[in-house]
Order: sequence, then structure tokens, then C-alpha cells
Amino acid sequence: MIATIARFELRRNLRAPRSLVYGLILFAVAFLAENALAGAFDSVTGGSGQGKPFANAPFFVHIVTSFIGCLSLTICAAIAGDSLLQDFEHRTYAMILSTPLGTPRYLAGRWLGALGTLLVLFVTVPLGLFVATKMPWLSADRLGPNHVSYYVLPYLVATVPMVLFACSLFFGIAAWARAMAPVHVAGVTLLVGYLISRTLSDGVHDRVLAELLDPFGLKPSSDLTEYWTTAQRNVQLVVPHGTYLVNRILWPLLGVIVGLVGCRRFRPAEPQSHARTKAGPPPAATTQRTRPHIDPSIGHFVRWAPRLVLSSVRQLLAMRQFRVLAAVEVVLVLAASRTAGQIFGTKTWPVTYQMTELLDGTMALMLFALASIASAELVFRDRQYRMQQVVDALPTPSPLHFWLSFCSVALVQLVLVAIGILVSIGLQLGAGYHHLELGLYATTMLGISLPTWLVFTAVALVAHTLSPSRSVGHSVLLVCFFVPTILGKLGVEHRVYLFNDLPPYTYSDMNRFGPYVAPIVWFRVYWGCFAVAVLALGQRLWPRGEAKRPRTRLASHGVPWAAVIALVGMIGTGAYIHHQTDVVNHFVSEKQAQRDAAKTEQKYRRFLDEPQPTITAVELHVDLWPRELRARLAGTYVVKNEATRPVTTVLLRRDVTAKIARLDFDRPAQVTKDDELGIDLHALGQPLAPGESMTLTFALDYANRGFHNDGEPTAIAENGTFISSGFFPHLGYDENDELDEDDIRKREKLGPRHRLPAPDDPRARLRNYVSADSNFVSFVATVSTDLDQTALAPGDLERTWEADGRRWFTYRTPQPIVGFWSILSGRYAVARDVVDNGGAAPITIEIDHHPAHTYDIARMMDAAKKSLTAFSTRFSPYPRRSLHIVEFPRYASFAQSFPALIPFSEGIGFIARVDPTDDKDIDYPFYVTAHEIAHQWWAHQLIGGRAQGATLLSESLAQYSALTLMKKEVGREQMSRFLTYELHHYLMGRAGEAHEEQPLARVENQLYIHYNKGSLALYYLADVVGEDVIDRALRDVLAKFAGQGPPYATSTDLVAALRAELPPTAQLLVGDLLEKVILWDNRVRTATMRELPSHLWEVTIVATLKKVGVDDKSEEHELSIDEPVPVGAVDAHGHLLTIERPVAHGNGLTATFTTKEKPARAGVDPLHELVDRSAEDNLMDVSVP
Amino acid sequence: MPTLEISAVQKTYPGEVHALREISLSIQPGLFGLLGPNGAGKSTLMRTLATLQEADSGTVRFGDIDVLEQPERVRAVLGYLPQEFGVYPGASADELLDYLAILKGISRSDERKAEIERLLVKTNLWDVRKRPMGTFSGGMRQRFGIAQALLGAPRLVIVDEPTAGLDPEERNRFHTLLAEIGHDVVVLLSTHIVHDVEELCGQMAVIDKGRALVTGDPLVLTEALRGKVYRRFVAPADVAAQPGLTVLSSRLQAGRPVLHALLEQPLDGWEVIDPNLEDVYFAALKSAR
Repeated sequence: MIATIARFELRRNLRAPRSLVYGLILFAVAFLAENALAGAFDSVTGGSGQGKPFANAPFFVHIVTSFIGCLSLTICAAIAGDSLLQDFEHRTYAMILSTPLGTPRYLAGRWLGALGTLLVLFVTVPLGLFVATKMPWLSADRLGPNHVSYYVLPYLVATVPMVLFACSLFFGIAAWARAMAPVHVAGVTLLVGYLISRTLSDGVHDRVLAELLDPFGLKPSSDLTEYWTTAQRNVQLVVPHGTYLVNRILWPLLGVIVGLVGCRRFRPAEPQSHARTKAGPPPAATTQRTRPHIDPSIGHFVRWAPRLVLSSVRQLLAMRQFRVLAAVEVVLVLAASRTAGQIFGTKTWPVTYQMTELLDGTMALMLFALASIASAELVFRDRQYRMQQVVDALPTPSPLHFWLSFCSVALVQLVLVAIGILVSIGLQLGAGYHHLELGLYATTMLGISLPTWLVFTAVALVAHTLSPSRSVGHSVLLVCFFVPTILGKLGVEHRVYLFNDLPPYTYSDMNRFGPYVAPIVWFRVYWGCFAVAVLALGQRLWPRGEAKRPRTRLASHGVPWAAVIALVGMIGTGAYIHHQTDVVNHFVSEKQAQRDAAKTEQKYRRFLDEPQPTITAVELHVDLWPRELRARLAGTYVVKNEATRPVTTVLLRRDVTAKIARLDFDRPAQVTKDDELGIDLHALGQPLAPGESMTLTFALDYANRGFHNDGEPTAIAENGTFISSGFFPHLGYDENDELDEDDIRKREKLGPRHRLPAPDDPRARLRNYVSADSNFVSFVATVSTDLDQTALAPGDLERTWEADGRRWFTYRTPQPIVGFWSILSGRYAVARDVVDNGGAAPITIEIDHHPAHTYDIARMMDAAKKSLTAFSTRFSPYPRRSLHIVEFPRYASFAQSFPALIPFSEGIGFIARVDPTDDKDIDYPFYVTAHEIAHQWWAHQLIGGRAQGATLLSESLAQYSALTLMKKEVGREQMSRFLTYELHHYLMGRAGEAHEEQPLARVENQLYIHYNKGSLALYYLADVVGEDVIDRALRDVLAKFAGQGPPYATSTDLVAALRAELPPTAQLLVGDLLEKVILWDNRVRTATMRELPSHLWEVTIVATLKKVGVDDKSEEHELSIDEPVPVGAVDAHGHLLTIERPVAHGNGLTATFTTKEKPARAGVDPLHELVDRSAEDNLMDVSVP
Repeated sequence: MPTLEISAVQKTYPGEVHALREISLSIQPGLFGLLGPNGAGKSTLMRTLATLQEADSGTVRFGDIDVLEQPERVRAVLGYLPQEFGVYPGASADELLDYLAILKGISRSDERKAEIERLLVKTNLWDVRKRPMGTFSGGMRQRFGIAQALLGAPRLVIVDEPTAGLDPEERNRFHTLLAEIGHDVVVLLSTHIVHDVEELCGQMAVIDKGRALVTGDPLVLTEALRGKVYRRFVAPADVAAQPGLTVLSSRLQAGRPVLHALLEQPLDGWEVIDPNLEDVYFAALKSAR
């Protein structure tokens, strides 16, 4: 009987036209996703598939199948809900339920039918993925071999449990509520909530919980595979085990339980509800009839419009959907605020821009849904409640209904935004943050965000006005919502053509909206005109009486002048925007930039073989006019021919946006300009002989004019200018600017990429890796700026004065510096301190910061003092008299080191809220400061030659210096938490490697190697052999190479120095850490303890060890183990009790050690110092045998 | 006092469905009953008069208003109760009346308040005025319908099949309400229930297939049939077998079939009876077919 119903239901569902539509949609999404993965759209956007797995790798098939499952929630909701509710909609339930069938069997049959339907429909997903791989236009090198298991397994593991979960859940809700609306609301809520919450989890902690809480299994499956390399992803099936397996069983079970509960509450009878009534006494009967004055004039309606709007608003606010959206919004803001802005799991102060960014992000989908739902309600309510004949026969002008609806939806959106703002303010106050900046809330949310949604609302209202039903309107709007994204993917980059788009902007506490005001305003006006045009036409379309065709309705009132004017306005502003983005400024797409880089390489790489002069002295005269957003960069370079052949032609590189007032040598030259690529060739009248010098004099004018399509230049800012040396002219061809990705190089018809020379290559020591056209240069800079600003440049301040209503500063470095500098200017508050520098003059430390950002100044100052003292003692005396740490706007989030000058982004430390009592918090302002100060030695004194391994000498050593300093401050346990992040980022980085992973000593500027692996390796080495041994080696290298031009140091010098200092026992280790790629997979098997009579605890652990080497073809080989391995135990609070390093022979390890306190967990590598791919099985609870 | 003059109004729906064929009616103030079977064109005519639909040709004048050309002017004096209508289920009666009153153009709030109170009392909805109307019974909802139609003391009231589905008590109450207003305004009542017209209307028309078959005072029309309407009880088998006779209606009385027929002279087995409005109605339909 159940089977009969199920079969009937299945047949009915599959025959319904909408099943065809759903099937086609699923197929199309899968098909398109696979095409996108295989790079079908890359050639238009300039994207690259470099280093990614094959588009049909089992890994991708799995992830895409899971993700489409999650996106298809609404389909599950529609089918599951409808299979039950159709009987109520068609009012056939009375007939069906009066048969002897019985409710349980009826429900079971319907449920099975819906489930079967969905399972059949979802077969189209693997089908779409598979069919796409056979498409002739896809490039064969992006596709690997196909295997049926690649498609079947994801269907079984991802789709079937998801369908079981979703179908049961929605069926239960439908049975419970006996209405479709709650089912849809549940579907949308689950989807939106899920998508947004996905972006919130930070990846390292509470992992198991986050993995279990994901109903679609995306989190556990991507965690399972996150450290997989490309080779693994290409062939390895995602077989569920561990948490993923539990997850895949848990959710369907949960769905079925909710379904059963819902079905138990299923009551087939009509609900009866009676509201109580307050019956007041009737008023004295007014028998006298006076005809009230009827005045259906515009004046009347304008006067009473607020009342009418309020009445509609009340109705909208009472909708269940609104309450759900508001509740979801609140939950999302609360959830998002927990992790917003976190770095290393450490909070920031909830500054207002962070809250508005968070609001903006979480509210987008809510406001979209609200615009569509509320517009539909107002358009369709009269029809739905059969009021339209009554209302249509009233003397109200039709456009009035339209405008009232628009205002009502706008107001309801305002209410939602206000709720978001109130929650944010509550969070700020709750966090003890009182600098609320209500004006910023108003500007961002009401001035930028809400108008964006009003434009969308205009479209939503018209779309619904024209639609025959709500669902048609919703679908059309869904397409509208994604159109900009899709068009963008298809290569349409100009925002004038991307509906309702806005150039990206960044708010900075320092520079406020800075250069972004004009583009925001103009684009808002542009789309505002569009909205007005849409509204002006839409007001004529309001359906009234017997439906007339839209075209007749549109034409029935003569020429729509308002719409015409608005359209003219739109065309006008559009033309103006075009003028700004394409004429005043140049719009360079990503693909165009790649093309330019390719052209540069093709035309000018030959100059690598031509001798080029080297800069030996730099004298800068920089004039900044921050208020006018312009600057003149002038000065002279003394350039010398350090080669053995005469220089006949000099290649000069300059920024294409600069206006050149002067750029010439002090000898005649014939100049060939290439304005497209910004390269000039100066054929010298008289060649520059070897050893001879000449002078280059330059004056480049930069001015921010108008605005751009995709972000504004931020180097020159009203407050917070940060001009780097790239804005100045440079000599010779720079290999660092070449394209790196193989597939893009192939597309641009370039040969294979040019690798860095090996450390032992003779070319390795000729140039340093930072500046292609100089070695160590003498440096002096004179900078003028507005009277209320302070300007900074590398070096010590020599002189500052005021003249001509401006402030002037001269900075000079006592010793020559690496040819790499920057100029800053802003209105700062200054924190000063002084630190001793051994016998030399004390060092003045200044932190120039935004006056409101006082939170972390003390930490930074502390870090600066401790760093300077420690590094001066440990490495060599600090060679300058001062150190400036200067805050710059958060347009970039890094800190950078120049001689005596450290620009530091406001986003990565100035609003950090490190809780010293919380041992989970990592004091990253301290860490970043220490790292940058360490660069005063590692990069600005010891600089590597342009070769593999160069950044080991700067970035990794800076990490080593900072980490050893931090360890003194916070202790080993907290460092192990920090190292967990480093390990995670290293493993993630190597999984995403586009070329091949290099050992540290041959790192090719790969961040995850020189930062994250550098930290792990050098920290561990120091832990094993002691800091002072390593410091000794570092001093040796420094003494040999500091401040010297060619021959430059390479990583071989560092490795040799270390080997010379390290004991024989550590020689293997230094090779493993620096010269090889080694991964561990250690696991504790048993951990037991017994109490000794001396109140000590004796712990015995048994562990399995696995050590793997990765060769230069990314292949793994297991290595034999014969070396010390850390073992230890922690107490119930996770505090380390002991760590020892017994020598392990082979894969098994049994170790016994004692602790003074009772251990809670014990095992191998308790501080996560080894590079272990699954660190969570290192420790286990200690048992008493 | 304005009268409603309908002349030669024609409406054809797509597919050659003639809803109105050159219909002409002259309607004086007071209650006017529009009788006709389902599909006769009543609702099309009502919707056309209520400005919800356009006619293909013809003219309609209400006083100095050209109804077909000046819908805004009509709407200002119109009260309309459509055949099928609903309410926002969450709204209460007084809220919704206030909302509709504003839409109707009653600008002064004191007048609006007085008007709403008057109508709520009159339609006996005062006690339930704060209740969400989703909980209203059919009769209550219908009374609300008449209350909204009477907002702003309209001069032209159009009520389309208002009594369908009402119990006898509600129907009586409804008739009283209609009768009260029907003195100085044009009230056009469409129905297929002869009884409604009999009780309420001083003028009427029978329409079928888009044509007005008869118009006039119901009493006069009934009187005109006096002596022509006959009745006979027959065996069930003989109901259909009455060749050459104009049978007006056949129905059951106490389980026995009884026929009404229009006879020029007495006939054997047939007894003459007092004609009623139903006979007028059927006679009109018969004569047209």
C-alpha cells in the first residue's frame, strides 16, 4: 500500500513539468561548474589553472557535488513540502484521509515518493559533471582520466545523505505546519545561514564541532582533503572516515527524527482559531447621514500617504518571513562578530568600520530576500486575499499604489538595517567599546548600503508587478541578483554594465572614505537614475481591473517623461563615468595587465644581456600635496657602470600613470619612449665606460584625477600617504615582474618561466633579490608636505623646518642601504621612547599613529624596545640612531621594514585586543613589530643574492628572531599555539603550490615556505640545540656579508655557518629542516602512568612514527627513522609538564619519562614542533593500567 | 438626482464569446435588480459599471459622468461589492475600513471616524471591529463588504450576487441594509435569486446571453402575467412530455413534480395560479430561447 502511494507520487512528480525544470537546472549548474573548473571562462577573465588539480579530479567532483546539494535545498523544500501539501492545496485531503489507508501509511508513502523523486533528480548532477568533461572546447591538459567511481562515490556520500536529511526535515515541517511558507522559510534560512556561517570559522580550533555541525559535509570533507597536494587530489577518492563518516550518518538521522516528530504532530483537520475581542460600547447611533467630503486628489493622498504606508509596513512587519529574516540577521551578526577581524584567533576592538563591514556582508542576502518577498506581498496581496476588485474600484490613482508599495518596502528594509545597527551597537557596548561613530553607521548603512538595496527594490517591485505569480517574480530577481557575478565571470568588467554594482571601497579610520567618495556617489547616481526610470515606468504597470497587456498599460498615459528624463540622466552619468574611468584614467583589466607583462618580456628581456648601470647614490626631493592628492617625486641617482663592457643604451622603467617633467642623464641621449609599457630606451651619445658614473635627474608628477572602475590608487592619501620605491624610475629589465603561471605564459606565447638561479650558481651572488638596479646606495631624502602633517622616509631625521606654509624634512642614512625605500606622510600622534644601544648613542623609538588608535601602542613600544635590545646584543649593534613605526591606512594589510622606518598597516595591529589573561590570545602586534625590527638586520644588513633560498636569509631569519623573542615573553606553551597556525598555513600553502615545493634553502619566494615553514624549522632547531648556537652562526654570516654588495650571501652560506656551529648530533636535523622537504605522521597508541613513591608520575607511551621525504617531483618516499623525537605530557589544563627527546629507531617508539604533577594527556611531539599532517592524534588521555 | 443610462453596451471576449450584446437599461434611483442565470453577462456588466473593465462600444452615463470615459469620476461616487472578495486576514475591520476610506478620498479624519463608526454599527460589526478578519464568518465578511461599499455615501452602489451563501437570517439582515440605502441613490443588485429582487427592488431587468429581455417594475411585470400562468401536478415520467406547451418551470412540491406553464387559455388538468416574479423570470428566458 505504501509502495503504491510512493510509486504514484514518484510518477506524478517526475511527470510534472517542474521536475524537468529542476533536473535541467541541476544539470546546468553542474555542467557550468565543471566548465568553469576546467577553465572554459579563464581566457576572458585572465584566470589561471596553474597548480590546480584536474577539473574532473575526484576531489573536485566531490566538493562540487556537495556544494550543489547545499544550493539545491530550495528544490528539496519544494518537492518534499509539496508532496504532502498538494492535497491541502487541492483540497483533496478529505477524500484521501477518509479512505481506510490511515495517516501513517499515507505519510510514509508520500515521504518515500518525495525521496525517490529527489534521488532521481539529483542523478543529473554527476551526469552534468561527467558530460561537461566531454566538451570539445575544454583544454585537454585541464582534464584527467575519468572513472565511474569519481562520480558514484560523491553521489552516495554527499548527495544521498543530504537528500535524506533535507527531504525528511522539510517533510516534517510541512506536516507540522501544514503550509508551504514555513517550509520555504526553513529552506532559505538553512541555506543562507549555512553559507554565511561557512565563511566565519577560522579553520584551526573547535574543528571537530564545526565539522559535525555541517549538514552538507562540506567542512569535514574539505578538512579531510585540505592538506592533500595536487597529485593526491587528482587520484584520491574522498572516502569518508572519522568525523566525516559520523557527520554523514548523523544528519540523515537527525532529519528523519525531525520528520517523525513533524509527522506525529500532523493534524489533518482545519485549524480553528478564535481571537478574543474587546467589545466596547457602540457609539450613539448616528442616524443623521451627512455625505462625507470625498476628495480623491493628489493633495489628499500625499497628506495621508504616511498613514497608508504605515499600514502596509505594519502588515509586512507582521509577516512570518520578515521575522525569520530579522532573526537570522541577528544570529548572523552575533555569530560573525565572534570571529570578525581575528588574526591568529585573537580579537580586535569592535571598531565601527568593522561592524559596518560585517553588517554589510551579512545583510546583503537578507535585504535581497526582503526586497523580493515584501514587493511580492504588496503586489500580490490584493489578488491573494481577493481584495483587488474592491481596491481597484476605489478612486485611488493606480501609480499611488505603486509608490506606496515602494515606500513601504523601503521602510521595512530600513527597519531591518536598523535592527542590524542596534545589534552591532549592542555588541560594541557589550565589548566595552564606546567610540560608536554613529555618523559612520549612517554613512555606510544608510548612505551606501541601503540606496543599493533601494535600486534593487525598484527592480523587484516592477518585476513582481509584471509577473503572473510570486514565484516567477522571485526567480527573475534571483537571476538579476547573480547577473553581475555571472557577467563578471564572462569577462564584463566595467561596472556600468553590471547591474547595481559599485566599485570596491575600503574605509580607513585614518583616511576615512578617502578617494572613494566620488566613485561611490557617481555610481549611486547612475544606478539611482536607473531606478527612477524603472519606477517611472513601473508606476504605469500597476495591474488594475481586468489585466491589460503590459505594453498597453505602459503606453496608456502618453510619453513617460519622468522615465525619459531619468534615462537621459543615466546615460549622462554613465558617459561621465566612462569618461572618468576610460579617458581620464585607464582601465586595465587583469588580462590586459598580463598581456602588458608578456609584451615587456618579449620586447625587453634582451636587455638582461646588455650591461646596465647601477645606482650608487640616491637623492630624493619629494613634494606632497596630500589634500590635492598629488605629489612630485624628483631627485637624482648617481649611476655607475659596474660591468666590464661600456653601456650604450640604458633601459629606464617608469610608472605609466606618472607625468614626466624630467627624466634625463647628464649626457646627451636619443630617447625611444614606450608609453604603453612605461619603458624608455636612452641610447647614450657617449657610452658610459666601465667604472664611469653619470647622473640621472628626474621629476615625476603623480595626481589622482577623477576615479576608476575598480578601486582607487591609495598611495597618495589625504591622510596616510605611503609611496613605495616602485613609483620612482628604475634602471634595467626586472625579471621579478615576469609572469609566473605556466598556463598564462603559454597563452601569451612565452616560453617556460625563468627560474631563480640555484644558490651555488655563479649568477646567484651578482645582484640582491630586492633591487635589480642597485647594490648598497647612499640615501638622502628631503620631503615636504602640508603643514599639519609629518613626512617620513628611511634613515634618521637630519633636519625639519617650516617654509612657504609647508613642513620640510630631511632624512639621511648613515650607512648605504639596499635600494628600496618609501615615503610616508600623515597626521599622527606620536609615542616616544628611548632604548640603550650598548656603548653607542641611545636609540629613539617613535610610533607615529592615528590619534584614536592608542590600544596597542604600549605593546608595540614594548616589542620595539625588547627587540632592539635583544637583537643588538644577539646579532650586532643597531646601526642607526632612531626607529620609526608608522601607521598607514588599511588599504594593504602588512607591515614592511625600511632602514629605521617601519610602515605598519592600521588593520593588523593597531586595533588588536590581546587579552593577556587568555592564553589562547596571541600578541600579534608584538610579533609583527619584532619581525619587522628583525629585518633591520635580516634584509637591511644581510641581503641574499637573487637566487633560490634568498628569502631564507631575510624572512625566515626575521621569523626566527621574532619567535625566539616571543618565546621569552610568553613561554613555550603559547608558542606551540602560534606554531599550530604556522603548521596549518604551511600545510595549506603546500597543498596549493602551483609549481613544486622547495626546501627552505632553495625557497623561490614562496610565502608558506619562508614564513610558515621557516618558523617551524628554525624554532625547532633552536629548541633542540639552543638559541645561542644558532645566534653564533648568524653572527658569523652577518660579519661576513653585512652591508656589502656583490658577492652577496646565499642560503649555502647560512647552512654552512650552522653546520659549523652545530654539534654532530644535529647535522642530520639541519639537513632535514633546511635542505629537504620532510613530513611526519606520528600517532600515539597507548599512554599509561603509575604514581611513584616519590610523588612523581611515571608515564609510558607507545607511538607509531612515520617520516616521509618529498622529492622535487612532489613524490613521497618513506624514510627510515634514527633520530631524537620529542615526547611529553600535559596536565588537565593543557600545560606542558615535561618534554624529552629520546632517540627513536624505526617506526615504533616506546618512551618512559616522569612528571612532577599528574599528567592528563601524553604522547609524541606535544608542542607540535614537527611538521605533522595530522597533529590531533599526537596526544591521548593517560590511563592507569 | 442622477440616473444611470446604459445604452448599447457591447463586450466580446476573445474566442467570440459575446458577454454583452448592445444592452441598454435606464436605471432610476432606488434598488434595481438584475436577474439572470449564470453566465448571462451580469458580472461583466457590473464590472464594466464599476470601471474594472472596458466595453467594446456603447455609452454609459451616470448623471453628467461618462462612465466609460471618466472612470476616476465614477470611482469617486461609487460603492462596489464584488461577487467574490476577501480581506487581509490579519487586519481588523476598523483598520481596513480606515485604510479603504483614505483610498476612497475621505480626507477629514473626523468625518472618516464618524463614517466608519456609523457603518460598523449599521452592519452590526461594532463588537468585532478589533478582531482580525481572518476569523470572520461568511456573513460577517459579507456585512463588512457592504460596509466598505457604503463608505463615503456613494451615489452609485453596485452589489454583485451579495446573498449567495448566506443563511436566511444573514440574508434578511442584508436585505434590510440594502433597503435602507436604496432611497436616493442608484443601487444595482445582480442576483440569480428571484426572491432577492422580489423583496427589494422597485425596478428590475432580466438578462440572458448579454441581452436585456424585460425591464420594468417587478409588480407590474408580475401583474401582466395574471391569468396566464397555470400549474399542474404530473407523474415523474410526464415531466418532459408536454408538447406544444410553454413550460416555465418544473419542480418538486412535497416530492411530486409540478409544472408551471404559460397558457393563452385554460387547459384540461391545469389550474390557473397567481403569477409570481419567478414566472416572470422564466417567461422572459423562455421567450428569448
